[in-house]
Amino acid sequence: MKGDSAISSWQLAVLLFLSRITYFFLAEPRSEGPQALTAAIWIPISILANFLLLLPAYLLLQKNKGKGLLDIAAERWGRLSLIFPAGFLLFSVCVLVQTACSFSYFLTSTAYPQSSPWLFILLIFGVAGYAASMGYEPTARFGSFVFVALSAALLFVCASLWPQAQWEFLRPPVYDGWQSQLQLFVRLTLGNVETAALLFLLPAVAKNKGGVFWRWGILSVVVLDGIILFAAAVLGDYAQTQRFPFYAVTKIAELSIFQRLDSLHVALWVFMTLVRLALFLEVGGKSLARLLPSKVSRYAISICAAASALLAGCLTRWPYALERVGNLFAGGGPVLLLTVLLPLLLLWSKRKGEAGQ
Amino acid sequence: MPQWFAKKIEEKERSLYVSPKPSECESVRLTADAAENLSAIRAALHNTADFMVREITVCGIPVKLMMFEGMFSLQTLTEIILEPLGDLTLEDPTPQALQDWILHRAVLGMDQSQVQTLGELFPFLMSGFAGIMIDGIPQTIVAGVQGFQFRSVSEPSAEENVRGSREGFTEPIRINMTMVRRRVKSSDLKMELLKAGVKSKTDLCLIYQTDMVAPELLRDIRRRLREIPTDIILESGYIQPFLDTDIVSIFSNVGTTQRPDTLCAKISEGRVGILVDGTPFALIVPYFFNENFQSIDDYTHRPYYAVFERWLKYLAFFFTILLPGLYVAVGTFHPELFPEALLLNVTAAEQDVPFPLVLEALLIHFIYELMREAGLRLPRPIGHAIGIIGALVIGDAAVTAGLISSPMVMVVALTALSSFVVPSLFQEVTIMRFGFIIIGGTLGIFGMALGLAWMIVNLCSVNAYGIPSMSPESPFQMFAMRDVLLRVGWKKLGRKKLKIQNLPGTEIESR
Repeated sequence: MKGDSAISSWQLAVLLFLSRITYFFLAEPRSEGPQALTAAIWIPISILANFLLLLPAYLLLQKNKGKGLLDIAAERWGRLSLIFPAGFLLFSVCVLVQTACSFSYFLTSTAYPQSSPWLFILLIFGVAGYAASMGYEPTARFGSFVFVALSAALLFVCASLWPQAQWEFLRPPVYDGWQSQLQLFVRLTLGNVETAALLFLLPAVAKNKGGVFWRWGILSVVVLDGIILFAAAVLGDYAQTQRFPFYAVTKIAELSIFQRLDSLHVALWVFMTLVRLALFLEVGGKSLARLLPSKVSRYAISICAAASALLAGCLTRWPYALERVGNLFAGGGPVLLLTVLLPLLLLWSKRKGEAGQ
Repeated sequence: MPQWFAKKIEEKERSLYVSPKPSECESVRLTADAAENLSAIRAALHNTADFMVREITVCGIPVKLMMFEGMFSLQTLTEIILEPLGDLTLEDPTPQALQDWILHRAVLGMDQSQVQTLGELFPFLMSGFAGIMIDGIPQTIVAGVQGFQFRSVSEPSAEENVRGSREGFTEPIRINMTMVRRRVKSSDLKMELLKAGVKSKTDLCLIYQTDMVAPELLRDIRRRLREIPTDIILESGYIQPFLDTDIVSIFSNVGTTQRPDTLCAKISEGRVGILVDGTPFALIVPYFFNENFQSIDDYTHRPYYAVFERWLKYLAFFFTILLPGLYVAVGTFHPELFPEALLLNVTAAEQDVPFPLVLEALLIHFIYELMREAGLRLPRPIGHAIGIIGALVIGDAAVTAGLISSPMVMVVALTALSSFVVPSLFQEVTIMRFGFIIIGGTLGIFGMALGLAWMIVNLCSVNAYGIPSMSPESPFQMFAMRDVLLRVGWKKLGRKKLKIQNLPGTEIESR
């Protein structure tokens, strides 16, 4: 594993944005369609809610400049602090497994119907593990290129399908009732797993740490709202029948003599999934390194990647288990625990310790 | 297990190879007895046939002139040594007086030095110096009388240009140094001579601008050059791997150039140039990925045309690595990507070919590489003939015989053409092209995307001497982009100079 050097706030913001958008493409595709306008309204609100929830943890990190949550916990809690790396590890593995399974499902149900999901899972974890083992910086730099490619692809799709967009397809925000609104809000806010990655990786940012959240937030709101609304306006009720609505949008996009470009978008989504996997492998690998003896800790990312790949490969056979993992995240428990409760506890114990002194 | 394996390899290596060691005689000091010195020198040189000694007497003092055959100019030797010494009359003819006269009053050319050991003497003699050994003096005076044959300065074969200088580096290092000095008449331009190679003691010259280069970078380069364990260095390619900071990357962060103007431009941005005696290829350290797409013509053409050329090169790079693989991947896994008319044509052409697309692509690329390699190594007239045979065999006979399809010929032709647009990346793209064909043929677009991602991550992971190799594209810096994807006009470009250590993501300190 190479030594990590600092990344810029823009780089981390782009990484988190790509990870978030991958989730919307692969794992949460049904938020587009019937609830498009509702989702578009709730996304900025959920970002604000995320900001409020992250405040205690952010304050904690600001008070301990240059240290991560794991370091602060180790200083305060001794051996009990291992709950932090264990929590982040478990959390990352779940995100990795869910992402890899969704990705392999996407590929086997669209471009490669006859292939084994194991093939995709093993290969993508191989490359993501390589990227993660190179450190934050190469992944962040790679993310910048993916961001440019994604922007170009989205602009192209929007330009080619603009005449087909029918905005009357968008339903009024309260069309599906208040209960679903609340569920959507919880899912968008507490299901935002990138907030945990943000807290974990924030110490790696060289300067303007506070800017990461806002840059990421603005990027997410603008692009996600744009995509969700546009996909709904182009597909209308057809979106409801599609497991991956944005993929359906790319299938009907045409460029001059090229009548189908969905396979090229598959390539782009491979890049984005790689970024998400590499990001959470960093989190998982670094957490695992804290739990392992120093002799084997340098293989932490490889171990994390191998274990996640195995789990993901096995879980493709048990979709119910996978759905449970998805529901667990959608409920918001893990995010709430890692980004709010544990940092609050740490902050409280630190305050108490300072008051005692 | 890995330790056991490493031990086995080490044992095997030890039984086959020996580590380079300096000759034992190198530390032998010269004495006041010239005859004794000469015997020691002859013994150290194992009575080699090309060592020449001329014994003369100057004012009654025995003097021995030593040279290597073919290395000196007889005219220079006569003019600056033999004639002045022959006409010399000393009032007090002692060995010390003769040495003082030679050192301080005679004009024995500009290159003159005194050596005290055989280790110091031999590199001078073997570089075309004459050694003047005065009996009674435990030192030898060396004077430059070089006159060996070398290739004259000519246009660099691998870096031709439309506009600008036609001068390219040649083999002797001194001539190359003058070519750089003539172009940058600044007191800040510094040249530093070093030696590398345990046996060859090859002259190296570090060239940099003292006001631009980062001291940390310079220190690191000097350390790496000092630690080169190789015994013989015949070309700059021998030391290039020791300067590469990332051994696992397929892309090098050390560049080469045959052009003195290119080297001058690079060192003016804080890079270090390294000239190696015996080769016209100078090294540039560090070298970023985007520099492969820059050429001297970019700076002499109008900006809009230079930008066009640069984009063309980037496009050619992606064409040459991806096109055959993409064609195989689309044709095998995603034929729906082809426009209808093209799909029909490709299907009709591929119908008669007995091989699967991936095998066909590999076969034709293999044949192309065979012919390219054969044409490269053979004398030029025969090389041309190979080209004609290749064109006939591949372009016509193979298609007619149904071994390959015409669209595949087109793909290979376009790929081969594109690969020559960025010659500095030729080795990398050749290997990657084969890789992408195999990946495309087995995994389709998914595999191609994974392969491309791996390549970009690999590129992004390279930190050349603490400076990201992909800078300024990623980490992004707007100011530096004016000479990457764009090439702004000289009115803007010349106003402020880029220092490479100021690029974003850099870990070395600027000065």
